[in-house]
Amino acid sequence: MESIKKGDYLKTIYHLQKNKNRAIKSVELAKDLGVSKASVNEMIKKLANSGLVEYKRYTSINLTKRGIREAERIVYKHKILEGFLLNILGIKKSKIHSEAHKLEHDFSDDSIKKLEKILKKPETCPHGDRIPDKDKEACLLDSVGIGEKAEILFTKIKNKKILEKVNSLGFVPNTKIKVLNKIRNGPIELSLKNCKIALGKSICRQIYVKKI
Amino acid sequence: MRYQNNFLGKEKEIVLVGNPNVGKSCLFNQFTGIGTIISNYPGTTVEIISGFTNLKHLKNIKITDLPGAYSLIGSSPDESVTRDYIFSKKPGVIINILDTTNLSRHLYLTLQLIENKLPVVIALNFIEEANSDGIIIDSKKLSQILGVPVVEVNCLNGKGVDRLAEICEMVIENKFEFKFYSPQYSKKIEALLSELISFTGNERQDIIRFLEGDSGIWPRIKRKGRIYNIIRSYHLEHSIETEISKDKHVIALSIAKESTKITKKTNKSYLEKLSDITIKPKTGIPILVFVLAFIFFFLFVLGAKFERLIVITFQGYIAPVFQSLINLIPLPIVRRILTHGFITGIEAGLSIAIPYISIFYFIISILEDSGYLPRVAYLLDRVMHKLKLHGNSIIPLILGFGCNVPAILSARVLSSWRERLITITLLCLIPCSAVTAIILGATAKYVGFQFALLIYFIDLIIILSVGYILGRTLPGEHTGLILEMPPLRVPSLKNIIKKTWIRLKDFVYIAFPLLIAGAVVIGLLNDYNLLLYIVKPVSPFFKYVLNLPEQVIITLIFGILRKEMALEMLVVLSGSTNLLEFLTPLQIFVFSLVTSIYIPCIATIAVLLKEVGWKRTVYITLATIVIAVTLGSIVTRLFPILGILS
Repeated sequence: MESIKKGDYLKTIYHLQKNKNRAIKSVELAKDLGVSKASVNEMIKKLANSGLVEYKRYTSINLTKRGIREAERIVYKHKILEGFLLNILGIKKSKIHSEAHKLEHDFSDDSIKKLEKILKKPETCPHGDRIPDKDKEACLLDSVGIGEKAEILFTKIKNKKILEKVNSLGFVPNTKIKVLNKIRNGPIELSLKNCKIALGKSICRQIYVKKI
Repeated sequence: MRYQNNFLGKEKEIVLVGNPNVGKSCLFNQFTGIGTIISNYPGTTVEIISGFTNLKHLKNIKITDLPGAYSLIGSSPDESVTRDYIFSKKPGVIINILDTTNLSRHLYLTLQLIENKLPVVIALNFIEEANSDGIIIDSKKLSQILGVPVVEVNCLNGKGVDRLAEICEMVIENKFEFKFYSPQYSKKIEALLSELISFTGNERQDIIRFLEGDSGIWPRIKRKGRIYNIIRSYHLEHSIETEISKDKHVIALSIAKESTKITKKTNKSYLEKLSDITIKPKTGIPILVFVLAFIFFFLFVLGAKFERLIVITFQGYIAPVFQSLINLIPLPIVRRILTHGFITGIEAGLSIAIPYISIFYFIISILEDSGYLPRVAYLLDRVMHKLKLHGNSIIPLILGFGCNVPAILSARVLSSWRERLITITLLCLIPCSAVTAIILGATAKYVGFQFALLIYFIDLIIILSVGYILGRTLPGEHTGLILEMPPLRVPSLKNIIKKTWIRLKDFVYIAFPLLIAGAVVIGLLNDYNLLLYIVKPVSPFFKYVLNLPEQVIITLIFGILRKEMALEMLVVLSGSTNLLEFLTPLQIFVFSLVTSIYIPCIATIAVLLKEVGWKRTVYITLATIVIAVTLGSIVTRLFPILGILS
């Protein structure tokens, strides 16, 4: 029971964070899950101990990188299962969500991979949402090595001014970049559309790319 | 649609707009004569440079060089000024300068201008460079697509500038027919746009500016509250700002492709090879060290020689003329005021401004125009992160070794206020060229070169620790380095000289009045022996803490005017050219150390007031005094115990 609950928490935080683009309050989480605040706080402590979330008391809950990966793994499983239930088993669309919810915790990663192949690697789930499978290939810009090329997938820059600057310089989804130089633990120099730009480490850690 | 130039007769002004490093100021210099005015945009410290055109076709039309901008959204103080100037002053012609070697990136800004139906004239710069890269632009085609005039220019040698001026004249006289291109976004965004247009009743371009995140348009958008609900109902994959920006880049790229022919790329030029070498840490760091050493050599060796020359000339030839003129005045008090103001004050100004500042600006302009400075920021970004700053701060800090005044002004490039404040505070602790004159003239000369180095070392420790503390205590976000690395270019001498001149003029305007006023006040106080009275209440304290004689305290007051004046006054007051007859080596060391940190000089205080307000100026000033006195007293007590200099 315990691990089921854990996954649900992660998923809910993940979805809330994606919608609101900020840290989540424990009240919001309690409301969304339909549980008491006390049990939310208890679970958050457990999740924090296993390094999946970071939190400040009563105020904000944030998924860690590991937490995001974990949540995305569950969402990914869920969506593939939905596709399987609808397209292969022919179960009604209204029922697939709750059914997939039950299955997602018990199916192994390998079985899901095989299901995905059978479903011909769908990009969206039956409800039309993106399957975070693509995001699984996503890595941070600062993990791209010298001479490697990558394509920008999305950015997670919260500071509006920085986002606008990065956007106007051309760091928008689908843009290809090539890393030219890198200083260990420091900035990287990359080329984007025939122009060279230096980006600090902290900015690179907010830009997600796919190596090509 | 025929574009009516509504601005005719209202504001016959040309403005220059473009991304940073595109050659705007260079083109500005081609358009104007010598007379230029630097002014602050109202309510900001961002400078804009204006002048009047001085060309065959175009005479006496006001022309303004706006700060470099990547977009019209206003994501930094500089960019906001560019945006506000364009939208509020409605200049008659906007010359948008593009870098041909990187057309698609530069077209992003152009699209924003055209989307807002502004009277844009495109100037394509770096045509020759593009050609050698194998890029050939069909400027007629580009003009056809965008519906605005396109002129090929070379900002460095002035080729095409006459043609550009002709076109500008046509636009001013309303003889050009604009057929503005209207960018089409992806289906989803277009659907969203048309829904929002009918919902708010605002015009398309206003809605787009709003969605891009331009706060300048906010007041004009109606029914803002509900807009976000509508946006949300579209389930966009990315934030709306990113979606719009993404589409705009795609449009820019397709326009660039349509009007470009890329032939085979030629081999790397020697400048490109050099560029690689300056960036790779293994070779870049030694080059950086060499460049810095070169700057300091020029400043200290040449600057000092130059200064002596100026002081000798001034005292030998100019001062006597002034003095004899002043002596014609019967009132002694007026004579005194004029003597202090016009002889001491002007000499002080000349001997810093001309040798140190001009040489420094000259070198910095070379580094700037060649595109080297961003490489310094890149190489030192990691070091600056230890102080919770980033690479962009390094440029002001290097300038600080020359003179704090321009250095503090240059901190404006930093986009966050927190980073600016930290950088400016650190700048006040950096030994400028005048402080170096003291360290070399007193400590190195009388105590020993290794002790001069020790002072630098102590200063460095202080700067790092203050930076460390401020970096961790000042509230605000720690952003990061975002910097375009322009290709290395051979700078034009004409441009560098003009740039140096414009900056020197700016310095003279700020510093000279203060130096003259300060010289009069301190000089008069000294004449009537009032200085001693002012010093008296605090001198026992300083005497006890620093173990320095009373006269030395007076020299510290002179040091506020101009740091190295402290040393000059010390020599005068000691009555001997050999300081060792008057002070012990330890006292000389303490004196140099204290003067290197205590109180920013009067010109620095003036810019501090302008940039950070009086409250923070007071804090910074007090902090420097406390640090200087504490350090001095520690050294005075610690060195004898350690057996150093005793």
